[in-house]
Amino acid sequence: MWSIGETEINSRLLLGTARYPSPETMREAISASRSDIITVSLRRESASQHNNERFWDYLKSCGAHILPNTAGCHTVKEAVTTAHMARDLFNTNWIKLEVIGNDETLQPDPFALVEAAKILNDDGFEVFPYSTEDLIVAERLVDSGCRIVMPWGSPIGSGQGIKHREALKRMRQRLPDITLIVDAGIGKPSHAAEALEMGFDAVLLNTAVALAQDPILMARAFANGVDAGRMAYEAGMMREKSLAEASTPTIGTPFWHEEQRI
Amino acid sequence: MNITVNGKAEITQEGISVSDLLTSLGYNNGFVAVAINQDCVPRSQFSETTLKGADDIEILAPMSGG
Repeated sequence: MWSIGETEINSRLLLGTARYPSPETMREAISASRSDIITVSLRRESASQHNNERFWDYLKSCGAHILPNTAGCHTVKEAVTTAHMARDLFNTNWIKLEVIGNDETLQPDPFALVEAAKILNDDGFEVFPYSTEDLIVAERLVDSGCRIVMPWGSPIGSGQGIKHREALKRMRQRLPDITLIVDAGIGKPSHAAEALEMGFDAVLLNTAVALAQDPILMARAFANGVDAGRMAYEAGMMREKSLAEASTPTIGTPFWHEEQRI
Repeated sequence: MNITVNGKAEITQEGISVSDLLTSLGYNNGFVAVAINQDCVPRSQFSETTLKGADDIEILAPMSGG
C-alpha cells in the first residue's frame, strides 16, 4: 500500500486504456494487472457516436481511480482548459498533464509544461506531469507545486525501456520526497521491474499490454514485474562487482580439485 | 446565429443555452464536457449558460487514453 496525496493505492502499475482489441479485453486486462489507476482522455464526439458511453460504462465497472490526461494538447491554454473539463466531467482533481512539443517524437514542451503545471497546481489540481529525464525541468515542476513527476523511460509507444538510466537515477536521488513515476517507453515487464528496482514509485504504461498478443496474460506479467522490482528495492540489492567472487564456500573443497591443480 | 461546434459550422437559434444546444444536436443527457471559446463550462451551468454568435464550442466525451 502506498499513497498519492491523500489517496491510498495498492498497485504500483498505472495502466492506459487505449489500443486494446476490444473493451472486454481492456477490462479483463485492467483486472489482471491489479492496477487501481487507469488513464482516460477527452475527445470530440459527435452525437451519432455512442460508443463512448459504452466505453465509459466499462471503465466505471473496473472500479479503479480515473486519471484523465491532456493528451494531444500543444499549448498551455489547451491543456488547462482540457484539465478543467476533465475535472468537471470525471469529478477528480487528478490530471495527467501532457503538453506535447513535437508531434514526431511526442516529447513534452518543458516550458509550457511548467507554466501549465503552475496554473493547475494553484487551482487545486493534483498534477501528474509527463516530463523527460531532465532534472532541472523536474525541479521546476516541483517548484510549481507538483508532488509528482513522471519522467519518460523512452518515447511514447516505443517500448525501448529506460534509455536514460543515469539521469533517472540522479533524479531519484535528488528528489527523494517526490513521487516519481516512469511514464512512457516501458515495453516489457523487465523494464517495469528495473524502474521499481531503481526506487521509482510506480510505472505508467499502455501499449505494452494493449498490443501484446495476449493482453490479459501480459497485464498479469506486468503486475508481477512491478511487484518483483519493488520487493527487490525494499530488500536492498547487492553491490555490483567487477570481478568474480565464488559464492560456494572454498573451505572443505573436495580433494579431486586439488589433484587437478597438480 | 452562426456558431462552431467541434470545428464544424452550425446554425442555431439566438441565445440558446448549452443544454438546449446539446439536446438539439442529439446529445440527450450525454456524459460530455463543454468549453466555449476555450473556457470550460461546468456541467452544473449548462442550462443557464447561453451562447453568442461566433462562439466556438467544444463538446468532448470520455475516450480511451494512455
